[in-house]
Amino acid sequence: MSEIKLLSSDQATITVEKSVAERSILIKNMLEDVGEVTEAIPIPNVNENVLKKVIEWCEHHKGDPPAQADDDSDSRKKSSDIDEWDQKFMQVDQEMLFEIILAANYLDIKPLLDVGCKTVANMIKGKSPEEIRKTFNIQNDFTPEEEEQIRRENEWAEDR
Amino acid sequence: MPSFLSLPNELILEISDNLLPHDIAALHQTSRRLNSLLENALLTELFRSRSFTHGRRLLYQLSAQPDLKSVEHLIKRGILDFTDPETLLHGAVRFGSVHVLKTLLHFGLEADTKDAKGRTPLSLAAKHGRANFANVLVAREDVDVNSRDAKFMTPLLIAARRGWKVIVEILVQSGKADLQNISDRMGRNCLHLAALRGRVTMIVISLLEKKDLDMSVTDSNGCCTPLSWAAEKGHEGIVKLLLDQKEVNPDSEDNRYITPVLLAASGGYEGIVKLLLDRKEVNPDSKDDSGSTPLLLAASLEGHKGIVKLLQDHINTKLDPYPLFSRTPSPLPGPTTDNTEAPAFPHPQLGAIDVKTTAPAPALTPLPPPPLDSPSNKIKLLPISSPLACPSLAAAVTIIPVAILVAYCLNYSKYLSS
Repeated sequence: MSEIKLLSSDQATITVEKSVAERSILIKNMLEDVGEVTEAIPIPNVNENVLKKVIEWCEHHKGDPPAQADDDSDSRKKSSDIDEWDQKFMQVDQEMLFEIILAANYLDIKPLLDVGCKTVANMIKGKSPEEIRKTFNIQNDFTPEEEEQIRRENEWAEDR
Repeated sequence: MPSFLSLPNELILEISDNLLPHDIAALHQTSRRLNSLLENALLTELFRSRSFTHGRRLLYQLSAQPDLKSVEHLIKRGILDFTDPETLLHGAVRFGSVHVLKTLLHFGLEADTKDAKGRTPLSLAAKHGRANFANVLVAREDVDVNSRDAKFMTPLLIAARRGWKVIVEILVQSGKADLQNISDRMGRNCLHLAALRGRVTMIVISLLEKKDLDMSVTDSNGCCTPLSWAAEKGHEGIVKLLLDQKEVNPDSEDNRYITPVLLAASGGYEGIVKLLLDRKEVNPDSKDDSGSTPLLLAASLEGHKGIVKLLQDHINTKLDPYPLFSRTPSPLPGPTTDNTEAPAFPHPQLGAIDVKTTAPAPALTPLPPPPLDSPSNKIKLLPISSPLACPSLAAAVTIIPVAILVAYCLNYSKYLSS
């Protein structure tokens, strides 16, 4: 069982099982390209904390079947069902949540990215624009007139 | 410090991929960046979900705008594939503006499709009194002004029944509405239905101006004419209007020999009784098939002394040139009024009593019965008692008690079975 080393953006070296690291398509492709590596692989966009968290997810999911080639189907979308372990895993502060999403995106770990996006989507569902602004600290940069016009333009999509 | 807004656009779109239209719309309204970013995502989601409700709402919303480009874009993109174009105009008539209707017609939606209840957009406009919509639709060649819905109603009948004067006028003035031949399943024409509602006097006027309308038509039960209907419902204004028409028979009787004055008397509408009695053709003492007369019915109800008096006066002056034999005004049937409750119409007992008090009259009178001046004043006895009473005096005298009994039983059984 071979192991590899990863070097986080804050210069921490983390040793991880190769098969676990290969949940990241980025790392998998890199390893295929360069063959055997002994020195740590730099992951410049992800700090130690986040990298550890991502590795934790990869370890739990290492036995998962590979993602379906065509997983862009409707059945995947709109489903807010996240498995229980993942739900617990995602119970982190917003900062960490977005860090994980960004890392999953950078490292190309599609299933983790999906879980992250679904978690954020669940935070949006059923909220009014104002509630969403509060949740994510979004600045309302509309004039009151613009806001009213946009509200009217979107009336058709309201959930009534 | 990563936050929601620090996510790159493609990740925000990825997140919105997990949302339904109303959530995307909410996110879309939070800030300028998200507004422009999610504009397309919202439409993409609509076409992906093919949501009937959202699709129709968007169509109506955009059709209300002066600029038609966005509607055209939606239609080209296939929004009509999942928004049930057959009933889009119906929804526009109910909830939209005339501009919406015009826009949708402009894009070639069919103007005369029927919904699940067989109603066309015009039927709906007639039902809800939406005059502007009716104007647009009536003007179109491809709209059948006389279409029937599942209840066999036409737009004109619907509007008359609902009391929408403007709609009736639009339909009548279009010249396309068939006044003469259009009646509902019960054979009632628009005048009947308008007369049903007292407050629509103006409708009746505008209909009366149309000479090709049959004003005395009875419905298919051989029952109510518009006049008798108005009299029964107590719509004095309409009674007056109808009586002013020379085509209207003020003493029309239905298949049960019930006349307008009898209906008005039983309803206690004194004004109408008076209007009718003022016409010389009206028989104040007409008798229906159960033997009830206006006087009996009025007398049987509390507080109709005025009507009772009116009827008595007219009976005395109109019918009876022979005061000796004039019916003594005994509004409450004398000997058998052990039942003090006012009997409801049609009351079998009243009918039977009436036979007793009135049937022998011609037989005992040495003079011929009073001549009556209206064709409808022919004396109608009960179907049972008349053949029996006619042959001879003696027969009449002996048979009358039996006749009374039989009539009573017959009427009673009729009453029970009705």
